[in-house]
Amino acid sequence: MDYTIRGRSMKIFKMRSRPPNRIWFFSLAILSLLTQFADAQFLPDPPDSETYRKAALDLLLREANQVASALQLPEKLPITEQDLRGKFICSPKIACNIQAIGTVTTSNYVYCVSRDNKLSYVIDPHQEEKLRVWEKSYSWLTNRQEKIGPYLLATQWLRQASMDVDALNRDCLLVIQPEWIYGREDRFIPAYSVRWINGQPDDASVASVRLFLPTKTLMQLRVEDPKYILRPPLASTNPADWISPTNALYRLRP
Amino acid sequence: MDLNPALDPASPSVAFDFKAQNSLFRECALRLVPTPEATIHPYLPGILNLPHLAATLSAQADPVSVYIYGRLSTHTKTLLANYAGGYDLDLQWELALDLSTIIMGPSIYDANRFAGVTLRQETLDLLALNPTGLYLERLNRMLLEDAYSGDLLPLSSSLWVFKDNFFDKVAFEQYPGAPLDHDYNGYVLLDETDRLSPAAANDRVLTSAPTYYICPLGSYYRAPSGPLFQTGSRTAAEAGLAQYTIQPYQTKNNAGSPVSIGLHYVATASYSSAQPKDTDSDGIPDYVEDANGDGQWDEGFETKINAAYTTTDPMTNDSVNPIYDDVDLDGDGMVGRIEKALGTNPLLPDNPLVLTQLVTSDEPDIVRFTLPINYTALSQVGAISLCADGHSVTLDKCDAATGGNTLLIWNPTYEPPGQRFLNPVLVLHELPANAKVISGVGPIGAYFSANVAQFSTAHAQFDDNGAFLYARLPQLNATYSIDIYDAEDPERPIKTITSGSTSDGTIQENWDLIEDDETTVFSGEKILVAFNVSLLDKPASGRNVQAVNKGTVVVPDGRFDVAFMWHDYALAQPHYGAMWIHMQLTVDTLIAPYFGYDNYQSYFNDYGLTPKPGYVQTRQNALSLLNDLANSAGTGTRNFYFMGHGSPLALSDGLPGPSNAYLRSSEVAASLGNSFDPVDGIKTTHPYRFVFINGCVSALTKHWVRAFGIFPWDDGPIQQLTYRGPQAFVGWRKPVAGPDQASEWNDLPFPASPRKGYGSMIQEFYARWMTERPLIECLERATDPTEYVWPLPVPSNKKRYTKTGDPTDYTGQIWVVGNEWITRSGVAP
Repeated sequence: MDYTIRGRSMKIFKMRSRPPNRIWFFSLAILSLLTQFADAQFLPDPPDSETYRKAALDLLLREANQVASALQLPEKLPITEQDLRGKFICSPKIACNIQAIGTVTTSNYVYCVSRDNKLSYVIDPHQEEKLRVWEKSYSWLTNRQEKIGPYLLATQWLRQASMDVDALNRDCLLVIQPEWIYGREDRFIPAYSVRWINGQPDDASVASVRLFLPTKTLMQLRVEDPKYILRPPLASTNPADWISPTNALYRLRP
Repeated sequence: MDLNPALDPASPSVAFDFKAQNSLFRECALRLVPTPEATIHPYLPGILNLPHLAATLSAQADPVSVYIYGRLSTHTKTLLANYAGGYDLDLQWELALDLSTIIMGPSIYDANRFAGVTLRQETLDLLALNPTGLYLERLNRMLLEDAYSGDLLPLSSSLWVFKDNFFDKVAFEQYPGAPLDHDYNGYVLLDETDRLSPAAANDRVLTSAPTYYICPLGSYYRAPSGPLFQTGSRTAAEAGLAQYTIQPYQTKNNAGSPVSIGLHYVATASYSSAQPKDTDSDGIPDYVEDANGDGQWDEGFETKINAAYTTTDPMTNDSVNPIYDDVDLDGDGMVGRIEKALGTNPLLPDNPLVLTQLVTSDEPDIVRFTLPINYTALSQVGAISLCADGHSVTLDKCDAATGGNTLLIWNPTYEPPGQRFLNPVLVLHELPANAKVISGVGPIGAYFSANVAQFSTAHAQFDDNGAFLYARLPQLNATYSIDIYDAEDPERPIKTITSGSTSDGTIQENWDLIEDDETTVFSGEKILVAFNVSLLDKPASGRNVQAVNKGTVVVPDGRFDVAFMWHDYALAQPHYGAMWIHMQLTVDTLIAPYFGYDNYQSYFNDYGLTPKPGYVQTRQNALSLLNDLANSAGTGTRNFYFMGHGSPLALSDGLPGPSNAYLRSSEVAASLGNSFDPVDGIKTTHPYRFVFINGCVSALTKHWVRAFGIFPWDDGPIQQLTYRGPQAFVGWRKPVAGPDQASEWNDLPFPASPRKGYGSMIQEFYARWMTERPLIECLERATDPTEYVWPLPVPSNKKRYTKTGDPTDYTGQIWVVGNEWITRSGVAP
C-alpha cells in the first residue's frame, strides 16, 4: 500500500519535470495524495509543495536576519532570497523526522535550523581558506595565547544568539584552544575554538564557537544540544502534528 | 538477498553459547565455573510467547508485573497499549530491550514481590549466594524466567550444552548457579562424583575405556560396537557427521542411525590413508561436497559425492562448479572465483601470488617485487596490491615487469622501519552480487626495512605558501640535514637545511620556497626531499628521499553527483522501481534539481527532460558519470554518493558475467588526475571533499580513497584543517547486504515504529548532512535500528540482516577515511 502510494506520487513527480505551471502539478499531486487519504489504512507522508517551501524559506530568512543582526555579522541586511548563494529546505516528512527545517547560505555564512527546529548553527563556509590567509600574517608566538578574550567574545555571541550560556557553564566543561600552525609547535594562529564539552577534551562539543580574535570574526557557532538553545522552534516538534492528513504548512510557525 | 526482517522469536539471542558435542575429553579436569561473560549475555532475552507476556504485563495483576511494568519505557508502554495480538516485531524488540535493561540493573528480588512465584532450585541456589556483578544479572534473568515461565526463553536451554561426548576419566568442577543442558554423554569414572550433575537419563557409564586405534587422522578410532556405538542424542545426519567415521576401516556413519557418542574423524580412503574419501574421484572430498554432512545432496548448495559432474554441463567438473566460487578447495589462499580468474587449478596448491624481490639501485626508498603472473592477463581480471603486516601499504603500484610478468612497486618509507611481513593480495575488478570472498592472498614473506625516516601522506605539504617537511624517526634522538631538489633537475640541490636535531623522534621543518641563493623563489611543481639522518640512541645513519608534489591548499566544496548501479532491473529501472524512486528522493534531498538546484548542483543528476536519480545502466552511462566526476568547471564536482555493487577496483551492476555497467577506480583516478605513485609521490589534481561508496568492500583497499584524492587523517584534526581542509571517504570493509526487495527500500505502513526503510534512511542521512550535522552523527543515526527498519548493515544490526537458514554474516564494518567530524561546510569541533 505504501509502495503504491509512493509509486503514484512518483509518477506525478516524473511528469512535473520543468513544467510550465509547477503549482498546477503540485496541486494535482496533493489532490492525488489527499484522495488516497480518504480510505487509507495508514497516515502517509505529508506532501511537499512550493507553498510549503516558500513558507519554510521565509522562516529561515527571518531567523537568518535576526541572528545576523544580533551578532552584527558582515551581512547586507535584510538578507533576501536574492542574496542567497544556496538554500536547503527539508521536505515536510524529513523535517518531521529529523527535526530540522533547513539552511540558507549567503556569501558569508550558512544559517542552519538543524536541532529541534531551532536555529543552531552559523557557519562561515570559507573559514578554512581564511585560516590559510591569516596564517601568513598572524603567526604568533605561543606566549601570546589568551583565553579571556576568546571566551568573552564567544559567550557574547552565544548570548546574542539566544543560547543558554549560563546553563552551558553550569553543565559542561570549557575548553579553549588556538589553531596551531602546522608543524610549528612554538607558534599559533589566534583563531580560537571555545568549546563546551560533557566529557573528555577529545569528545564532541555540546556547543562551540570558532573565532578569529584580532578582527573579531565569527568563523563558526554551533550548539549541538537543543536544550541550550533558547530560541523558539520554527515548527512543531511533535511528529504527530506533521503526520496528519492536513497541509504541513500548518506545522510551521511563522 | 531476500533478507528476513523478522527476528526469530525462538532465537535464544545468546552471545556466548557453548556447545560441546561429539567430542572426546580424556584424562583432564573440566572446571565448569562460567565466567560472568559466558553466562550473562548482553543482548536481548528471547521472548517465546509475546501475546501472553504482553497480556500479563499489561494486566499488572501480580506484584512482579506491577514492578516490571513500572520500569518499562514510555514507548514500550504505548506499544503494549496498542498491541492487538499476534506477531509484533516492534513490541518484541522494545520489550526485550527494556527487560535487558532491567536484567542489567539492581536486583529485582524482593521476598514479597516474588512470594507468588515458584522459583527453580537453580534460582534459589544462586539467590543464596547473594551474587553481585554479572552473576546478579544472571539471577535477575532467572527470576524473570521463573516469573514468566513459558514466555521467556530459559537461559539454561541455550547455554552450555554437553551432549554426545565421551568423558574418559575427567574430573569436573561445576558451579551450582550455572545449569547445564547435558545428556547422552559417555563416562569412564574416576570416582562416583566425576560426571556432570545431575545424572542424565541417557548417559552411558563405562567401567573402562574402549580400545583406541591409531589411524592416519588420529589416535582415538574405535570399534563399531559397545555402549557408545550409535547411542547418541541425534542421527548422524542431524549431527552433520554422515561423511565421518569412528572406525579404523573408515566405514562412514549411517546417516539415519543415531550418531555414536564421542569423537569422529573424516572418513578417509582407507585405514592407512590420510586422504579424505572421494567417492566420485572428482578431487573434492566427500565431506566437502556434502557440506552440511547430512548425507543428502542439497541441490544448489552442494555437489554430488557420487558424480564428478553435478551439473548436466559436460564442461563443468565439480571442481569449477560455481558452488565453490567462495571456497578454497586446495587451501592455497585462492577461492574458486580467483582460481578461475587466474586460470589455475582449484584442486592444486598452485598459488602464483608469490613475491620475489627484484634488487635495483632504488632501495631502500623503493622496493620492487615480481610475481609469476602475466601482467596483461592480470590486468584483464583485477589488480594486485601489497599488504604489510596485514594492512594495505600506503604507496604501491602494480605494473608490468620486463618479460611480461607482474611487477609490484612499493615505497616502504611510508611504513614503519624494521621487520615487516608482506603478502600480495589480488582483488578482482568486478564482483557478482552475493559474492562472499573477493580476494586471493599469497604467502607471507619477511622483509626488513632499514629506513631511517618514515613519511606521512597527511604531512606532505607543499603549495604556493611553502613546504612543510616532516618525517618520523625510529628513535627519539637524532641529528639531520635535509637536501631539497627540483624534481626537474634532481642533480642540483636548491636548498639545504643543515644541522638539525630532534629529541622527540620527528623532523619538522618549514621551507619558505626561498632557494639557497636567498633570492630565487622556487616555482616548480615537484620537489625531492632527501632526509640525511644520524640516529643517536642506537647509532645508525641513512638517507631517505621523498617526492612531494604541489597540492591543493584547501579542498573546496563543489557539485555533488549521485549514481547507482544494480543487478535487479525491476528495482532499478525507471520509473517505478523502489530503488529508482528512493534514489530520486535522495537526489531531491541533496540537489533539489526541481527546485532550481538550491544548494548543490550536478550536471549528471540534472533533470533535463526526465528526472535523473543517477541510474547507470550501461557502460556509456558510466562514462557520462566519469565525465561529470572529473568536471572541474567552477569549483568542480567534489562530492559523490554511489549505491550499488562495489569492489576495491570497480563499481558495477553486479550482473553475473560481464557487467553492463561498470566504472573502475583506475579510470576515476586517471580522470581526476589523482595518483599515489610509489616513485612519483602523491599528486591530487582534483581531490574530493566527501565520498560515500555504499557498495561491498569499497574500503578494503585504498584504491577508491586514492582515486578521489582523499587523505587519511592520522594525527588529529588540527593538521588536517590547516592543510587541505576536511575530507572524508566512507566505504565498507567487507561484503554487506544491500536492499534488493522493494519492501526493504520502502517504509512500513504507519503506525509501525520504526517504519522507515532503507530509502528513508539514505535520504535522512543526507538531510542531516545538508543541515550541517557531523558525518559521524549522520552515520550513527543511519545505523540505528530503533530509527530504521533497515539501517546500515553494521555488525550491531546483524540480527536485522539475517537470512533464514543462512549463517552468512551480511554485515560489516563501515570505514571512514579522513575526518569523521566533517560537516557540509566545515568541521564540528
